Amino acid sequence: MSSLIQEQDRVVNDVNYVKLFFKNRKSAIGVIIFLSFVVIAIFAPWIAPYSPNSMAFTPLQGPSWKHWLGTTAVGQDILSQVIWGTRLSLMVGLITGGIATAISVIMGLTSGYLGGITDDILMTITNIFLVIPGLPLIIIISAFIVVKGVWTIIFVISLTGWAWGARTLRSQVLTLKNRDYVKASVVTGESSAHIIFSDIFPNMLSLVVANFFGAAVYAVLSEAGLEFLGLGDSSAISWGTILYWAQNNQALLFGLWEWAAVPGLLIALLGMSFALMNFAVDELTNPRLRKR
Amino acid sequence: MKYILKRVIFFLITLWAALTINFILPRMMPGNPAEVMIAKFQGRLNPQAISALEIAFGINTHESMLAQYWDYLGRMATGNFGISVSFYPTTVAQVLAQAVPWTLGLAGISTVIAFILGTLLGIRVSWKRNSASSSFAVPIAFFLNSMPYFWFALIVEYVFAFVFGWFPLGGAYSSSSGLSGLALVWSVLYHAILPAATIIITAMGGWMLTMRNNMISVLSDDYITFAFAQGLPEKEIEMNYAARNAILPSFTGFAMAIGFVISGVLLTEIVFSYPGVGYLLYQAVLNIDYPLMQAIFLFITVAVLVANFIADIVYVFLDPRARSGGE
Amino acid sequence: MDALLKVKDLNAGYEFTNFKTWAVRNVSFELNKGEFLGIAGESGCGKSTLAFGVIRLLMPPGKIFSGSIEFNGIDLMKVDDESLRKMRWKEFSMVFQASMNVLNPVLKVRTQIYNSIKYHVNMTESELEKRAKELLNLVNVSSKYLDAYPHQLSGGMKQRVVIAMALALNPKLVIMDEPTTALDVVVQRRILQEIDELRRQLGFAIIFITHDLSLLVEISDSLAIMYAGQIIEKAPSEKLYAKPLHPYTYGLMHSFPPLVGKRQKLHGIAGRPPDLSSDIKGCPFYPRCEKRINGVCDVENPKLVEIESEHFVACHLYDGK
Repeated sequence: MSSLIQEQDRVVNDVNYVKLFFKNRKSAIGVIIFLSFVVIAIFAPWIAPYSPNSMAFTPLQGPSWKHWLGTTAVGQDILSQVIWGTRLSLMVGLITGGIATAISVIMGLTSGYLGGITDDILMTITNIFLVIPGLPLIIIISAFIVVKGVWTIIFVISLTGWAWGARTLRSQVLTLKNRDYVKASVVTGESSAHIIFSDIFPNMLSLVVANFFGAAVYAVLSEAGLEFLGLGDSSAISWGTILYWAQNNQALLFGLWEWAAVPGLLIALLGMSFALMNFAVDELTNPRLRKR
Repeated sequence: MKYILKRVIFFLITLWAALTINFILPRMMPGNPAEVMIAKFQGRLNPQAISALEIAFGINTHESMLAQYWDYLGRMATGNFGISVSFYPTTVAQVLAQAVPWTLGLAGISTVIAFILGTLLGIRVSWKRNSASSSFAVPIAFFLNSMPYFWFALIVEYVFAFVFGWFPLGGAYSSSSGLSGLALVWSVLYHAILPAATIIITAMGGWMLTMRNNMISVLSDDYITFAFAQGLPEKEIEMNYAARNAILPSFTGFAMAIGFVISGVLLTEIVFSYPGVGYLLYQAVLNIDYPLMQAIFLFITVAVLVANFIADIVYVFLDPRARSGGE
Repeated sequence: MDALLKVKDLNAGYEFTNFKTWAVRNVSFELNKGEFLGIAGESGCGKSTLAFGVIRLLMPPGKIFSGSIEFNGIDLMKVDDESLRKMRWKEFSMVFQASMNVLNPVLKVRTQIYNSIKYHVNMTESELEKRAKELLNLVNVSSKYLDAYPHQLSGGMKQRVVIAMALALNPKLVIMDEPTTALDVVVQRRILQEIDELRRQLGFAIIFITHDLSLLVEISDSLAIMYAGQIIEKAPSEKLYAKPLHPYTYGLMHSFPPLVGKRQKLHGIAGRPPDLSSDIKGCPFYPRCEKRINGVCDVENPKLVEIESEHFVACHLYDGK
């Protein structure tokens, strides 16, 4: 069975990431969805038919040829809002996912590698953040922060989203620490920094990437949730804020279901695209999940 | 046992951390929120309420931080959470006490059902890896897990309550002409169906995927092959050898799972205006009712801690290695 | 026919999406009732695959590609799943490598022993208990461990319990895949002796897989040497020991220094075994063989042929080429 472990390590190092994401059918779909969103976000000014903030149109219209998704309660074009909203939703998802992952990596690596009392303290902190329920914590912190804005949201979500990753990464570090090649490095007197970055980290890369995707999904959903509750920046335009205004203006009761349904669907799609891309990496870190 | 002791200590430490976060937050934020609130409600709050708030948030006192902290802990221990600003003059404790049973009922029962269904489905789906049902169930669970809960609740409410009119739009029971006895019970159940269904469907996906992944991991363990070698019937291996081992990580990861369920419950209550703790929190936020907000946060955290602790105890019964202090 | 097990032209290995590994290549041999056959070879030569394959225990991606396995007159490749399940443990059983996690961590030892019996034979609770105690007695494990969990047993004890379970239904054949490898040397020796004694007592046949030839030379009746998925020599143990014919066997035997006698230069065998996921042209041992014949050994793969009475060899040095 140890030969299986060596093979796993070898596979991790030999990977061509571009091919990996496209070979797996599920993750290929995920990549396509994700890239579509990126394109929409980048080219929003050219794709959107109107300015998203312009209140020049008749309010509360249903879908029509001029307004594919209808208009809001103050006369803004919903389609334009949705297109422009891609930017913020995507950005918050990626940045927050990145920050949360970075914190996870630092905590997990330090805790796992150093061990001892450092490990105990860091793990207790991690477990506390893990157990204290995320959404209520996010809500209460956001409620207390008087200054609302995108960075507030990013800060608050990152603060609550790193704990799971830290624990998983720490477990991996503990396993890798006992591998022969790491022990060899220790014996030959390599510095800790060198061991962490040259021996341990490269073999955790796929796990870190998987973590990032998980964090990104969490970020996208949390941002939407925050905006929906009115705790975000209601003047900004993201899919979450669109939903906020839709709910506030009783869109569903007016029969304007597209106003609410479409942004939500896009959020789900973006979240799913991350989860799908995660499949490619998932099967890498756990070879048993691979289809035979 | 050493294991239980560790869990108790962890419980206490986390409780302390939550209490401390609750204490520090309002004092730490730029633009003192309590002052903001007091300014906003100026004229509508009588002097006693104002001074109670000042004490609660440490404004205009000459006490040191540490003294305030002790004071705060004392108040928490006696259940003195202050007076609710939005439901003035009712105490926070009373307001909370009204909402708690609704959430416990709705969330409690839905979560248990979701756990059981999700786990059983996870077992089935992983046993026959390439069957048709597995190719369906997994992507669906996947989608359910990636979508925003509140959006799903909105859609459910729209389709089944608004469009089809099969269920009420919200609330916990019909407020029309004093219902009592069996009629009341029936009304409560009727109103709970949509929110419960929403919670169950959204929570189930996560548990199913977790159980499936655990099962796949376990199925490549040696004792499974050995069980096959002994010629044990498939059902026996599936349940007593594979599932019984695969379910263990579900308990160690219970806290995380509960966290997501809580989000789902909160958002569902808000969408359906179900008068539980989640809906209350929403109202508290809208009304900037800090004392209420803090109390709810504390309550939810304690509830999660207790649930987690119970899960830890159950784990000890399920995994003999935990009982004798591991290997 | 006396033979308990007849394996003919067995091909087995592992099937992945892009490639296949042929770990067992055209293996044929026969095993008689009560015979102790040792199969030796270096890591990766396919012996474990053979062990699992012979009782159709290969789990995906493992697969039997072709060949026939006749056990007591029944073709195991043709029998249906339920009948195969019924045969398991009663007709043949298996002891896995000691390092493996073979016991279910959440069930008591008692429950696991009962399970191995009760799905094949109807017994009352007290009969099961009696049998379980008998079995533990056979392997020198105190019956107080019946109510213990696997993690409370030492490695050697776990291995003994597994051996006891393997004998629960008095099977005709017990396959042992490196059952002592992960144990320390003293325990190894003792368990081997216990296994041999049990065999004399109960009369079952053993296929004993190992990479350590020296373990088996005294105890086994016959030995088969595997290399690159093929059996390259098979003979009664004394004959093999006295006169190893195949250059590989010879190299193996002389890789161990004897405990007594003159100091010798250790030989070892230079080079590495071939990659089993590709075709091999000619004799698989060709690149490492000191006695190779160019033009013959690199062209044709020698067949396993009986050179002397019961002594089989697959080598061009002996088949008249």
